[in-house]
Amino acid sequence: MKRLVPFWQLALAATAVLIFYSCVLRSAPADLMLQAQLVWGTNNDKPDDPKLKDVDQKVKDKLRGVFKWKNYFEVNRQDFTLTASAPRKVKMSDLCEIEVQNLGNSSVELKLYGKGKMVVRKTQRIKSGELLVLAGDDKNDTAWFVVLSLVEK
Amino acid sequence: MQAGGELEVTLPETGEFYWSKIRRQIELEDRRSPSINAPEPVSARWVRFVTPAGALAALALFVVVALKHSEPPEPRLALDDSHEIETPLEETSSFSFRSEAAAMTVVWVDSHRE
Repeated sequence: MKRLVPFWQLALAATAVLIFYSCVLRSAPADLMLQAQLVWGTNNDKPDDPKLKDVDQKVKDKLRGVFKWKNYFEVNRQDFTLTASAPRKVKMSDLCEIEVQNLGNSSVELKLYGKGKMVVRKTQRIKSGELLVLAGDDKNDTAWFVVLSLVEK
Repeated sequence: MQAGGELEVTLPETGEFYWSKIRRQIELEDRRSPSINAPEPVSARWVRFVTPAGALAALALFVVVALKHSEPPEPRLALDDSHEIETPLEETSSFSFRSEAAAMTVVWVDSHRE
């Protein structure tokens, strides 16, 4: 019996369909488990403030490897799930807020608000073990850091 | 000359011998060429399967290798201009850099404070 469609044409069509669906599935935005930390960097010793906590050793080592400050203290930490449906606002302090949007393909758009005004906006692909840091000078030769990372499962 | 106007041709051999020659020729050719209904050998079917499958596999391998090598190596510490950054306030400016060693992308915001 003669085949209606040759085998290689069927195989080619199947491969094309497979590639198409894998591209579609890859581009579908998945939920992201994120952690945002507000960190204060200083060369002085830890002040007598119960709100300040030591930063995770891993994060501290990374910050020390890039910035000049010796000590880093956590002011606030927020864990949240970022869905693809809508951007999420996270309050880090009375004056500081971030807005994060899931752009899909592990990319996020991060907006930093200071006193209600948008200070900076950044889009970045975020991977496990990587940090996205927004930072700036503070008074008395100190610095603030907003550290965004994926929560390790 | 015959009644219909056709010429009478005389064969160099007898009619019986002439037709038996044709029959033998047909039988010989039948023995040489395989029958159309004969089953296809397994090896031939495998060749028909493996050739396009191998070509597809080679094509997929080529695409994967090409995509892998198209990503440029990232420097250990470099200004990061690959992603969008915006600082809308006039009194602030920013720049971005990346540390491969720390696996960290930094946006430094300068508020131009004295």
